[in-house]
Amino acid sequence: MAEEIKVETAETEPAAEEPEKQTDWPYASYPDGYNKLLNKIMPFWARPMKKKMGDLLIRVLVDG
Amino acid sequence: MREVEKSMSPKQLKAYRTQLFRDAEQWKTPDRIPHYGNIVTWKIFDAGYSIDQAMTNFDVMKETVEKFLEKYPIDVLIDVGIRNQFGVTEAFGMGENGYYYYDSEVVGINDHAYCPVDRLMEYIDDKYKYAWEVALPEKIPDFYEKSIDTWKNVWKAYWDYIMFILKMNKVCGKYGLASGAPNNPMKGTINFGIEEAESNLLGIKNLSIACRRNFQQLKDFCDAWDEKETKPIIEKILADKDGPDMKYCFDASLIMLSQNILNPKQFDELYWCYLEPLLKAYEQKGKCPRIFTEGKISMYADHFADFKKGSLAFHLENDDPWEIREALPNVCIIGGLTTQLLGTATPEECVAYTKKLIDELGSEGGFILSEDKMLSYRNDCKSENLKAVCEFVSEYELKR
Repeated sequence: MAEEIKVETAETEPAAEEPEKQTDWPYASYPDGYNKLLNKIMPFWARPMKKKMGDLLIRVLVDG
Repeated sequence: MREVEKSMSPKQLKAYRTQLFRDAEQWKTPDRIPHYGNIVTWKIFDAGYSIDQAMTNFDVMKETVEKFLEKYPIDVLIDVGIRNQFGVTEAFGMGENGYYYYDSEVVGINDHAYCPVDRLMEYIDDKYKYAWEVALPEKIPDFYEKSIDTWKNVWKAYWDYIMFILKMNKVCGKYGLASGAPNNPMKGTINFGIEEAESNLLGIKNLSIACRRNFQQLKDFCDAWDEKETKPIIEKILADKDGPDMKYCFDASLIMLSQNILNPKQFDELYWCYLEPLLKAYEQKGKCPRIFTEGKISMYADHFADFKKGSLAFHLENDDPWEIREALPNVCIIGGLTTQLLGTATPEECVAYTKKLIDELGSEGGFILSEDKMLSYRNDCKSENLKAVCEFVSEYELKR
């Protein structure tokens, strides 16, 4: 039996990977953007707890 | 409650209750059997409220907990109303994109999975980065469009939630409630890669498929989790002083669920090889963790047979406590009370069954009374049944 010959056409070419969602939101990166956002929304006196409370807030949002 | 306990200050009562747990788990006959209250949202109905009334109002939630503790002399309460983050998610306008939901009768969890199997290593590389940059924007379609004012409201709700937790700690202190277990030495709950994969990252369906199709990717993820999460905990345990921490009833609290969907080979390679060293570290240091064995654990009982008495306590859900006692005479059993019994029997039947549990499983230590399921729904329990059981167990003295 003749070996099947696969011909790549536009239809058989693998689909291009979907590009990552792009955003120009200034706080989109972690940790830099997220820290900037926390500085905007946290009261000054709470800033020493920024790392711990900030990470916990992400967990609440992602798990909640 | 016995007269001797009534005369104690809340602080003394807390210490006394903690000792009862430690005696039971160390297989010493305690003065009486301690009762670990596995009671969650049922107490809201018992206080005359609906779920939505309590979930959106911290004052109502506090009142339900206080009413419960006034009515039932329980030694530990698994939830003091603080498993309630709806204020934060609602401030964010999460709506139907949230994983948790509630109505007047129930708090439920929508099926969810926020990490495909081929991104698990990206997740473990930096969990918070993945959550912020990938999971949240995918979960919430308008994530990038939230205003700074919305974020300020989220922060306020989050802060109110933390203040509520601190307030409820004071309520626990006022009633002399014992503390269940500390956070893990690295903070947060102790979890394993396979459990995180099941409960959040992949979900039960995707994990089941991945166990067959992507086993090596799962194994790599579990190995990486072990290096990054579990081994540092083991190091801290081994560096800690010997013996139990008497501020708590147990030295750790773990939840096992994914054993229910793993076959024996998968259990050994994706779970046990990481769990065993952690449990051995607790054993070596003379400490005792509580493991909530959701679903069943009896099919893997042989794995736990060699642990020393006093080093393990299983909180049973669907397993028969007598069968577990026979299979694992070295493991302290927490449980015995079923929602079937508490929801449908008479108070006399409940008390008779409780007495049988204590006499047959707890007269020489190794048994702590608790409910098998987290009491959550209105019909999980009748008030008069829980009251009768609580009064009986709080007064039934054991002979030493």
